[in-house]
Amino acid sequence: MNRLRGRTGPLLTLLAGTGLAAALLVASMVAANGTGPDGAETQLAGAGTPSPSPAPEPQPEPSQQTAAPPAPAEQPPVTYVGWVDGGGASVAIVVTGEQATAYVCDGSRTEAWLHGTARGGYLQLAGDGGRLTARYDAGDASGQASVGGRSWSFTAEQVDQPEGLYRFAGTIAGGAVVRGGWIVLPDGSQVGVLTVDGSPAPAPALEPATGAASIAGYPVTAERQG
Amino acid sequence: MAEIRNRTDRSAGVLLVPLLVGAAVAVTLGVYGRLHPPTGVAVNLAGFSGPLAAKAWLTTGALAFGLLQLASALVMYGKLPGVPAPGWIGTAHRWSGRVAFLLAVPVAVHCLYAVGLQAATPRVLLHSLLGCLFFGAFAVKMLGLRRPGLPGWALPVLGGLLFTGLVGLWWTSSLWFFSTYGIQL
Repeated sequence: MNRLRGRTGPLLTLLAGTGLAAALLVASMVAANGTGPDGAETQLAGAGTPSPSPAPEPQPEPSQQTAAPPAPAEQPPVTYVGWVDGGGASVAIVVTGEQATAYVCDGSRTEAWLHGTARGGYLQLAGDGGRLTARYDAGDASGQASVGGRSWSFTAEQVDQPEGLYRFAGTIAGGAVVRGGWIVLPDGSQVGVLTVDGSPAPAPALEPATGAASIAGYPVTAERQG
Repeated sequence: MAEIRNRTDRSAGVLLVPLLVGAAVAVTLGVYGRLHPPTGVAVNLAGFSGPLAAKAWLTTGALAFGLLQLASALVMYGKLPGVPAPGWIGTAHRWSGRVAFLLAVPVAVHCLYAVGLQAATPRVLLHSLLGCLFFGAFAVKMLGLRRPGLPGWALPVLGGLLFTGLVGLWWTSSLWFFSTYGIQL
């Protein structure tokens, strides 16, 4: 072995790596300052673009996204939110024309995204191992919801932004697959569940005006549904 | 005999300074990753669909050169029966290591700057800790190589730690990425 090279080589390797890291760090600082928070979001969206192909659980967004666009031309979406009787969970329903989406959530582990129809003053929704049936009119909706073997009766009132239903689904940098739902109620309280890599937990606080939330220190923007 | 004993005594402490420096590197990376607010943005490589894909492939490249490291080390130490060590094997070992390291550096910078040390899930926590330990162990090995009287077990142990760490890092990032999103650029 070449003695001299053996002695200085490793140091040069370390220095080269440190120099490369420093250069990349400076370039990253420029990139981060240049794009600002909006850039961060586009990067985020980019990172989340490839949707998980072998979906480990039923992903509600395809039906929801295909269902939502055609309807708004006819009628603007109407949102109802409320507590179940006893207050153990919360329900949010977004009715767009004859399509409806609901989110039922206990704020700790149990949640379900439900999809179905809104016809003749009645809602019939199912999905995610849950179902919801209710009557509704312009002011409120009331009925039964069941998720994972638990059933509640509920009453939900019609609300406007920033109250309502929020959702985030995507990959945060670092690779965790994240799905979150938040119900923002008229009394200011929030009920939500955040599932990170398949493990559900109470959702972090959401800023209702912007939909901004922080997941493990990482900023995300949840979208208001409807 | 006295001389050999003296050498043995000396070799015990020879790694002290490299180990202290390596520990400082690992701790510094971890503390920086925890304190620096994640930006979500860092300099990215063109040609990939996103930063995650770029990192997954760079790490896979580092692992490929890591495998060359393992193979060339086995040859150098005569552990592959019937494979004599050719004259260029040392050079091949050094350069495959350099390439693996330099492929891993941009990944680490992106991880630390854009994401930080995270603990959202066991996979993410394990990846974060392995990343800090990997670069700490690398510093120990590079600095240890320069020390005369290095004990015979030191390089195989450090090299083994580095290879194990690299496999763990690849497992908790690239393999996860490819199995979740499919193999894509």
